[in-house]
Amino acid sequence: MDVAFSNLGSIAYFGTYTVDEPSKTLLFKIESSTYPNQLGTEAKRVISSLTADELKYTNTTPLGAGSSITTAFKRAK
Amino acid sequence: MNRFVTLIAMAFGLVFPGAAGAQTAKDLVGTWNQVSNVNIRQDGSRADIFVPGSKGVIIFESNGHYANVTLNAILPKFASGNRNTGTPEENKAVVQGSLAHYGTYTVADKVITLKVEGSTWPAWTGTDQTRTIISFTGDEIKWSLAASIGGTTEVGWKRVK
Repeated sequence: MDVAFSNLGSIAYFGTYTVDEPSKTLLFKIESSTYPNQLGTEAKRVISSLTADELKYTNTTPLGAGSSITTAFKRAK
Repeated sequence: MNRFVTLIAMAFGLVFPGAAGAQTAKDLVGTWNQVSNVNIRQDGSRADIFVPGSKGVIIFESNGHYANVTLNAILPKFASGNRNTGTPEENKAVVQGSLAHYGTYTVADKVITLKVEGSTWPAWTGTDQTRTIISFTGDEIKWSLAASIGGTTEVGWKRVK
């Protein structure tokens, strides 16, 4: 049960990224992920707001977790 | 006596030419791919954790932040296609085959100190974790640490260009 809870509470992935400015989308090329189904896939994020220190983007096709997920980030200094 | 010490120092310089360098955090800034991961157990036996298919990255930023994601296994895909509904076996494979953490870092006396802000291995969250630099050549680094699975682990990295 602890194991199941730990998975629900985290996700980590890495790879490379590109930004398409006209469509305001961020494309992750995922090299590896703790969610194995993401491995080797591309993940698109639609940028809904971007200032010098804040970023907000939406995943419109989340993998089995609702219809869309919006995530907000603040630049670490 | 002085001559003897000098000879010893020269011998070490020849045997371990990579031991120099990596004195400051600036030397580490960039993206590094993991190339090796060997666990040395308490009985001295060695286990190669970096099995085929393993991948790991650590990113050191110039502002003092770092992030590390390591997958020491080829993880089976979740049959359900939903990461919230993995079977106990699928979840176990993820937890035992991966480690991710992030926070800030400093370097002093060939020791990297990671101040871990968050980790998928919860015992590390909020702690300082040290990495002792064994060798550094600018584009390759190897360090050792007290392993979360017991014993010590030596991890090798190559700079991504």
